Amino acid sequence: MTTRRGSRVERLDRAVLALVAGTALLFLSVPILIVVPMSFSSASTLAFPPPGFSVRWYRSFFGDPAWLNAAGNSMIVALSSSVSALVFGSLAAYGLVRGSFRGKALIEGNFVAPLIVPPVVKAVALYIVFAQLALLRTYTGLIVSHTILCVPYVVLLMSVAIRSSDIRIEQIAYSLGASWLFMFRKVLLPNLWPSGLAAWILAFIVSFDEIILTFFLFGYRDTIPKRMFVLLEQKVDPTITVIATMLIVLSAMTLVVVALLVRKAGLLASRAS
Amino acid sequence: MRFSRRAVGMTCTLVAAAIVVAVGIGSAQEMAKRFVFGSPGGVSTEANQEIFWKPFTARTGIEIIAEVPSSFGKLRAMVQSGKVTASLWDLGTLQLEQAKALDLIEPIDWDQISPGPMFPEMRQQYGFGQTYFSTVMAWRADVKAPQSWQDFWNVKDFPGKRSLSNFPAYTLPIAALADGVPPDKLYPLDLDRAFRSLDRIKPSVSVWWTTGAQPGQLLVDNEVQYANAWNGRVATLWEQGVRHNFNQGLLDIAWWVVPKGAPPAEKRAAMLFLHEWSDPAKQAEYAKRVYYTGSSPSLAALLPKDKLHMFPTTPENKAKQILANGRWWFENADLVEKRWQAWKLGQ
Amino acid sequence: MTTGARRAGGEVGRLPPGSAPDGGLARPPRRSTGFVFVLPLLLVMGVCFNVPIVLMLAWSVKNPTLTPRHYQEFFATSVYLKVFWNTVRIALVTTAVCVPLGYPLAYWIRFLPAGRRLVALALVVLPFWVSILVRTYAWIVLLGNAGLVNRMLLRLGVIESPLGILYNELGVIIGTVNVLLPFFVLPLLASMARIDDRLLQAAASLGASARTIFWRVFFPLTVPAVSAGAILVFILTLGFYVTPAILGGGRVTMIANMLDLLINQLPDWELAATISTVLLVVVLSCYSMSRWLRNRAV
Repeated sequence: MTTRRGSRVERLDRAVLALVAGTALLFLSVPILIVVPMSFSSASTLAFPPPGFSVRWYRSFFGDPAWLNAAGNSMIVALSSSVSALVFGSLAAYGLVRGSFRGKALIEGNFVAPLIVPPVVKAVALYIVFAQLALLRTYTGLIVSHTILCVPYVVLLMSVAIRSSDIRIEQIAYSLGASWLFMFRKVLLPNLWPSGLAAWILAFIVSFDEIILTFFLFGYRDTIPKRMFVLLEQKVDPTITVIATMLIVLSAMTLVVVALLVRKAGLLASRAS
Repeated sequence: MRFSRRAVGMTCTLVAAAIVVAVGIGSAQEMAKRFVFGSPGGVSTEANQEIFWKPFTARTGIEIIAEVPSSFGKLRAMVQSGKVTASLWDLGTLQLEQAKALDLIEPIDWDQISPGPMFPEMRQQYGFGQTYFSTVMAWRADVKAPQSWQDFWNVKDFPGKRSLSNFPAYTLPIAALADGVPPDKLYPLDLDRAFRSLDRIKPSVSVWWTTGAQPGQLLVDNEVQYANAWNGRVATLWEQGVRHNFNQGLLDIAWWVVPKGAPPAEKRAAMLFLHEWSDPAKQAEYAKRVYYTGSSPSLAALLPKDKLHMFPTTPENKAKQILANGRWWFENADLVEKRWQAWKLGQ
Repeated sequence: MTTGARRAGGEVGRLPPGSAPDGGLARPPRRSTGFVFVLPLLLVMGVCFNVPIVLMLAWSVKNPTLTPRHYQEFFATSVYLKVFWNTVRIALVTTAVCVPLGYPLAYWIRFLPAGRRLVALALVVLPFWVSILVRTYAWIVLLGNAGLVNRMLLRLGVIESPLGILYNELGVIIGTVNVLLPFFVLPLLASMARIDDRLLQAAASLGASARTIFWRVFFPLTVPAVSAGAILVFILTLGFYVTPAILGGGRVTMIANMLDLLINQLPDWELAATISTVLLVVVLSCYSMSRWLRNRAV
């Protein structure tokens, strides 16, 4: 039961909350609001608002096999790196949180270190070693390096998630005779999938956006950001806005599909019960 | 006749040795079918590929693979790792000196290239001069045109925001020139005088540009009204209202070097390619696209007459400029950089 | 805070889940259990990260024999220390802006009805896809002297000459916060989603006001995620180079820009290795300390 005074305070609180949240959301959306219209701009440099409508930059992107090649490479590398980072990192996070062995703090620090070592130092260090291992200019080499880059995000996120997930449910499952795999499917996965998804998204984008390691390790192959960075050195080309727009559209479509799937699964579940 | 076993043995050994030597000599003279070229990427590399690489590959069948981008750190890492894959690498004047000091490059095989006539400063033991480029003054067409760096520094008569390069090598000399240092006495650079001169222009500098595309873009967007810039980048923006001239410009050379430990067969292929670059007709094509001129003295005659003022090394423009002193910059790089950063942090 | 949670838990109902004393393994403890989970990653990182980095950092004591000279040079040169301190300061400011901006956003999204929650979530995630390069250039279009914001303010007569919101530290912080806010919000949201609604309903049914429910029940449960997110944002800002390079206008030199100079331009790999080592030691110590504090609190 809330008093009238309480409800007025509550309404004020809620209003302030909505205001701050809305401001933050608007601030976050600024890039989309600017970049998408600019991709349809007729101007030859970045200008907002765009002076006229044109699809010349879309034509410039799709007509250039170098861009499409770069896009393909980016996708391959980012998908592989983010998935392997998720797998390795989640397992490691589980071991760190649930396990008991010596040197935990050291190992965890080791897993987080790639975040701290500055990018150009990582690039040079990995270059020299990868040259010996013949991993330069290969997809494998880049994927391994990106995996290492993304693992800290996964470890950090999943550690928090696992730590706050009730261990007693796992204990109960074990005491009822479940195998680890069964426990994973029925207990951990349902509990941890939001954090896992967030971790995977972060890892994917970190890998997709990565520039310096790719510069050093990928040789003459291109990824989208690598090509963008080199091009921006010479002139500011609105083609980059086209890439951003298409990624946004792709991601929006994926979100819609996922949302529909989740809703469908929810409906199925309720129908089953 | 019966051959003793010893005789047979010796003959076989001699034959085997002869085969090995023949193959050895053969492979030593062998030329690879490809080589790797460290290039900065972007417009100049694309022009390079179209005008020089493609005809070369069509003629000789030797494939050229671009390794982009070509930073100095990458070159050093490559040589350090012991697995050198590139035969040519793009470097600036200061970096050329640094590479020599760190023992990262091999001498150019000029005999193998046997180039056509080149300006003497483009032929170095360790560097092949590819093009000239200049750091020049640029401005918007709708503001008053400066004729000297002193004008550029004069914010009263030439009002507007400035953008200067964040690389001290392209900004400190013009600061000294703006203070009245005569061009022939520019090097060794009087750092105190240059930094004092920068103090005067500091309040009007909006942006210290770090990429080649920035100053032109800033001028087009009317973010600043005056800037120093690399001539090629602003020459292509003429139609968008950006003007420049070569008065008191800083003339510099972009080099190609051979990383130390490059595969010999590929290096030979690379030297063969470099011969293409001494062709004035092709240099003229290249210059028309990116406004950077090659090394041939007969190039100026082939450039479009109505645009002669846009190229760095026409006789008229070359006379107005000062050639960069790579040696001085190399010897003082560390000191200058520290002082430069300290000066900027003080602002 | 966690002690507060315990008290709150005692007042309102059950202990929040997951606060088992040591989070230990479900099975009866043996020596070195759980190591097998950590091993694969450790091996991969050992070969492909630890070895290269140690070799690189060894440059800081090399040249050619063991010498502390580079460390002496680093600590004696005020320029490097200033850059170091500036970077830390910018990282602190960015974190200090992200937390009060991101927490309300995450909280508000968490309590939205499902349909609107998805839209809001989309608005948080979609800008992620705008590469940091493109985003940075978008800010130039927006905040420059001839940019949208200044043009509008000038036309409305609010200001007389363009505001200097770009090509300085302010511009860098705006750009950095814009990039890192989702890094803070998403994990926080995931953690908030795990908090059982029934806990909050139980508190309400016992007569707690909305504010009490928040501060005594909800907030303490989110503290681990907040601190993890804050640490992440802080560490990431330390390593930024694209945003300060483009939005700083040459005025904002952060550690990563300095290192790029030292490795690609000067080049002084020994000093670069020195600075990296110092950075690594400082940040890892702060990180371990924060973890030690957290383990003590639990």
